[in-house]
Amino acid sequence: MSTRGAPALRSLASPDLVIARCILFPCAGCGPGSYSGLKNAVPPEWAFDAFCSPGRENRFGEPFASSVEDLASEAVHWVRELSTDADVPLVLVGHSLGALVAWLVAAQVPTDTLVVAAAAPPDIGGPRFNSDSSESVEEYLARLLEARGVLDIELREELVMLCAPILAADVELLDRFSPVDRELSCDVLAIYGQQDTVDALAWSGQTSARATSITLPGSHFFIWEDPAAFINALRTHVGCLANLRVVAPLSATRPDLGSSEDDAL
Amino acid sequence: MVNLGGSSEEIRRMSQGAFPGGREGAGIGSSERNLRVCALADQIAGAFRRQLQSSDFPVDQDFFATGGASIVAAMCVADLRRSGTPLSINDVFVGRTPRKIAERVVDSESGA
Repeated sequence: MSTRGAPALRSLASPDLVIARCILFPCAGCGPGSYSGLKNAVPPEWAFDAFCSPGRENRFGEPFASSVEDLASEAVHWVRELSTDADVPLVLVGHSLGALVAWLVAAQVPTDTLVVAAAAPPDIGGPRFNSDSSESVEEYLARLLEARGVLDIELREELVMLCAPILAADVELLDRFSPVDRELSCDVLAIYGQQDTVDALAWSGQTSARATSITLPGSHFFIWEDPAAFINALRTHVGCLANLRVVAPLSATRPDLGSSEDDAL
Repeated sequence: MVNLGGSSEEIRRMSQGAFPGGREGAGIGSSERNLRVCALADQIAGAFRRQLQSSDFPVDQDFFATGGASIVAAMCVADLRRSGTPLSINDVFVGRTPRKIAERVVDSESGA
């Protein structure tokens, strides 16, 4: 396990009074910065951190991880450092590749709920890179960047050149990953995008507790597309969070979340 | 006027070659280099502030540790290039703080 270099957990929300702690593991090619849109959607009493794998963002230049298990080993160290208060429920959230990392971490750190997004269960193959297409990592990135508003071709090519090795390294991790049996004892909520090509399956083979699945509008990247809907799904479906009493009704501080009964948990 | 982000005494010392964390430029005098680094770091911090919609962005703050992502880095570079600053996205990835990015750009311009 390596914990050298920059800190691997980046805080997106760090309130004084914490009633729940979420730690997010990003998708292939990405780091915490890609999830900064969640900041404004997270309820004021949730601590929310994101894991930064080596080789990207503030860890740019560090050698890439050699396996998903290596990533998880490093993450376990940081998650233990952070979640020292046993009274605060711990929710691990993994997006695509990050779902595998979160799953491995949940097997080693007492976790209340595992949330997996846009990821098939590991026993049926787990998340895969762009399996329905033959486009290269570079072509895929260029298409994604264009869709996300990087219209300047020169800029896009520059970004593809810098980011392609990061994504390729993560794709290699996925290709090399072969899951072994690990049965969790925490609830597992699987969330899928309605327009994604991943089948919306529950992760029932991975836990002895409750396994549920839901779909939200959007693509493989539904978390980025509608952060508020994603956080709302966590609040509604994650038992250990839903049972907690929030100090102020969320609708009082987040008018965009509406004012239904569900919002005043 | 460019806000150099320091007291007049600090700026005077920097212009005399006492720029904290700086190094001697090979192609230009150290005072000139330090002033250019200061001015450019301030412009870069301004671009980060705008793109990250932040009220403040100190010149020694890490772009990525503050919530910056690759696409936002590209937007900052586009913003700065429009105002005539010749930096690359790689400069942002490697330098990460406005000051270190500015040092890379100034040293690269002067062939250091």
